[in-house]
Amino acid sequence: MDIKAYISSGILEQYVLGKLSPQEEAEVAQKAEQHPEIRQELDAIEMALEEYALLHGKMPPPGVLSAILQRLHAEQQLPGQAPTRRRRLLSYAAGLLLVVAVAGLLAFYQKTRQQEGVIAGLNQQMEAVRQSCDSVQLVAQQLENILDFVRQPATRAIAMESTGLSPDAIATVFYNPETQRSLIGVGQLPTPASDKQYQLWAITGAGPVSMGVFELAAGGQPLQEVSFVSDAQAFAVTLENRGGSPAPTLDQMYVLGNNS
Amino acid sequence: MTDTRKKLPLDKDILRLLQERDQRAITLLYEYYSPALYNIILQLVRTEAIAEEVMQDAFLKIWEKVEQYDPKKGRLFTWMVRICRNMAIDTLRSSQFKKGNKTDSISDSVYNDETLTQSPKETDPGLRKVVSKMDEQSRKIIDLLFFQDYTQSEASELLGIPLGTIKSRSRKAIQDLRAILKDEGLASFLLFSLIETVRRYLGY
Repeated sequence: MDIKAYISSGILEQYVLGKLSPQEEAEVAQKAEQHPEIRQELDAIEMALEEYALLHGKMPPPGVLSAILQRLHAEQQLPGQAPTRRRRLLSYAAGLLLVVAVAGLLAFYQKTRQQEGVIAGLNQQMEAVRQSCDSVQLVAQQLENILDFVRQPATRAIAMESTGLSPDAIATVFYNPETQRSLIGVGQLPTPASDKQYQLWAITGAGPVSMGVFELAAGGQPLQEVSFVSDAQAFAVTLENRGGSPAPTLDQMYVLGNNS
Repeated sequence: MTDTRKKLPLDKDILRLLQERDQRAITLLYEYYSPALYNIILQLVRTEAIAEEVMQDAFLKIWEKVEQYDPKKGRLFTWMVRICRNMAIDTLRSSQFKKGNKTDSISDSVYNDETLTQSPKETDPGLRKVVSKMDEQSRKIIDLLFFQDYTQSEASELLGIPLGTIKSRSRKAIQDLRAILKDEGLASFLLFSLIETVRRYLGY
C-alpha cells in the first residue's frame, strides 16, 4: 500500500472529522494500528483541530460545572442508596423474623405449658392407677391369704343360722384349731344402729367367750379376722352396744351354729 | 512538537483519574476543555440554555462511558467532541429541529449573521491571528465540517464545489491550519496551559 498516497487522499481528515461510514472508520483504525506514519498523521490532524477548537473556546455560563458535579454526585449516590434500601428492607425482614420468632417461641412455650399440664394430669392419673393397682393388689393378696386359709384341710366352715330374730340372717365362721386362726364371713345381717355393733361369741365348756366385734362392711373383704378361742363348741352373733360387751345379750342373738 | 506533546502524560493522567472514578477528572476536563466543547455545542444548538443542558448531559456521558474510549483510536478530545456533537444533534432532533432547516437557514444564520463567527475573533487575539492567516475557503470548510457538523455533500452543496474535491479541500484546509499553528507556537502555549491546569489540580 502506498502510505503517502493514502495519507494525502484526505481520508484521515474525514476520519477525524467523523465523516466516514463505520466500515471506512474501522478500516482507517486498522491501518493506523499497522502503520505508525498513519497514526502520527492522525495525531497531527487531531491536535490541529483540537487547538483550533480551543482557540474558538467560549466560556459556558457559570454554574454548569457545579450542576454537572451535583448530578454526578447524585448519580454516584444511587448505587449507594440501593444498599440502604436493601438494608432497610433487610431490617424490616429481620424485625418481622424476630416477631415471628418471638410469637413462635411464645406459642411453643404455651404449648409446652399445656403439655406439661397434660403430663402432670397423666402423672396424677397414673399415680391414682398405681395406687388403686396397689390396693387391688393388696386386696388380692388378702383374698389369696384368705383363700389359702379357707383351703387348709384343718379349716372348718361353721354356718350360723338365723335364730328367728331376723329370718334372713346368716353368717359363717372359718375355724382352724391347728393354726389357731378364725375368720367370720357375714352372709346377711340387718344394718345396726350407729351406737350398736355385732359381736361374735365362742361357746365353750366354760360359757360364752368373746371373739370380738365386727363391722358389716369390712373394706371389701369377704371375711374378717376375729380372735381365736380354742375348744369352741358353738358360735353365735349378738348385737351389743358399740365396743362390745363382756357377756352376750341373749335376746339379741341373730345367728347361731354348732361346731361339730 | 507532536512528539513532545505525545510524551506528556496529561491526557493519560486525566484518563487515569476518569477510570479510577475520581471526580476531579471531570473538573479538570471541564476547566480545560469546556470552552471549546461549549462552543461546538452552541454552534449546533444555537441556544445558550439548550447548549448548557447538552453540556451537562455530555459531561455525564463522558463520565459514564469512559471505558468505551480507546486511546489507540484517537485523542480524548476528539472522542469528547463526538459525544458532545451527537448529544447536541439528538437534542435538536428531539426538539423537532429538521435537517432541512439547517441547510435552508445556513446562509442566513451562520455566514450572513456574523455574530457566531465573529465574536471569538474579537475576544481572542490568538484566534484572530490564526484566522487572519487562513484563507477564506479553508476557514469555511473547517467551520462547516468541524463546527457545523455538515456532511461532505452538504458542504459541497453550500460551497458550490464538487463533492469529489471536498476531501482534498478539507485536507488542504487542515494542513494550512497545522502550518499556521506551528508558526504561531500557539500549540505549545495551549499545551502549557493544560500542563498548568493539570498540575494545579493534581498538586504535582
